[in-house]
Amino acid sequence: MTNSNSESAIVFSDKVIKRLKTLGEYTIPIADINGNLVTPKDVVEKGIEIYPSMFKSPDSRVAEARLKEKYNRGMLVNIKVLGNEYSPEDQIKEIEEKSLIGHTFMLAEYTYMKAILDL
Amino acid sequence: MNYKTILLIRSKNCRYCPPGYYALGYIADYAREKGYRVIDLPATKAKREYVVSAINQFKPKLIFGFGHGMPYAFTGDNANEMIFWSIWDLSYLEGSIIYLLSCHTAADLGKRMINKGAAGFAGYLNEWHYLGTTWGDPMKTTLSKTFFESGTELVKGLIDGLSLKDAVDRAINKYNSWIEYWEESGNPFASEVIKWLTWDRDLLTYYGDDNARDKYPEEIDSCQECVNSSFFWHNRCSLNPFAEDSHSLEVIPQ
Repeated sequence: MTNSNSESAIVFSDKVIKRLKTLGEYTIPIADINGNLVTPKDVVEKGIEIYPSMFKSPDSRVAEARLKEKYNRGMLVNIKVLGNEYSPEDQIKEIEEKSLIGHTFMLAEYTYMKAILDL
Repeated sequence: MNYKTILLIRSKNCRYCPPGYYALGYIADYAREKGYRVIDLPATKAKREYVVSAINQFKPKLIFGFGHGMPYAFTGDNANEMIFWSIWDLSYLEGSIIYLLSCHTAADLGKRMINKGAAGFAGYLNEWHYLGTTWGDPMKTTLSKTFFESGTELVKGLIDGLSLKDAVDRAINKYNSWIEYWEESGNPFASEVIKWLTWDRDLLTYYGDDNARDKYPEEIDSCQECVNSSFFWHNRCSLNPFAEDSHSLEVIPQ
């Protein structure tokens, strides 16, 4: 399938799916389609289509949703930056306050997401 | 410019700095094993007066620093005192290759160093993050080692004679090999480790000459003039007796 920009829908390779499952990422949101958060599982099992152009710019809503979901599942860990340490609770607080480091956390999450999806 | 000479700035007493201090200790050992003269500025010596004196006295080709960073500044053992600042005259770095394992310094400071004649600069465009549970030697736990081994690989490449570009590629490969390790680790927090490794890897940036390296273009491997002399040697000669016999240099602050 293609969209109006003649892009082909993204199809995850077996390698990517295996990676996502191994890392516990298979059911974490990766995209926002008309206000609905979509996970890799939705793409694979429900046939929801996603396109490369959807990932061109970091989507803060998706990044925030991912981090909150990971926090709820106990997947976040303490992070050290030279000068500071952030617990999972601190990270969520910074994200909600939209602080500079909060934006960094979201950008890092989005960058990582694209990397593990091979986008 | 003195080849096969490296200056190490090893901040320790700033917040969250001890692991970096120990990690650079391994680099000092690595450099000595490779026949380098090492100008080691650990802990309280990691400050501007020592750094500037060391560079003026010994003119090291390689400079590797660990400490806090901002777009315009790099600080040392005391995080309130700057070692390099964008608005200072940085022309004494002419010809050197500088790598700062430090947040933000590639955003501006590195460019200023190149503008003042540094042969190459590598650093990070945003915050360099790491995960770990130790405040001691990071190489003794897998999690901390993951980050500090990746963060120091670039300078090992330079010590091995690689060009700046190839040393950066080697560092990126090291980050990638650790990402693969964690991907297959089965660790429940692997995704977080990979996230921050990916982040650090993608922020690694360099400026200057791709081919900048710590090797004299016409390095003489067996210079008879140096072999026969007990008091004279070419800086570029790999038989430089000073390099072999005196692996640690004392810096006298000016």
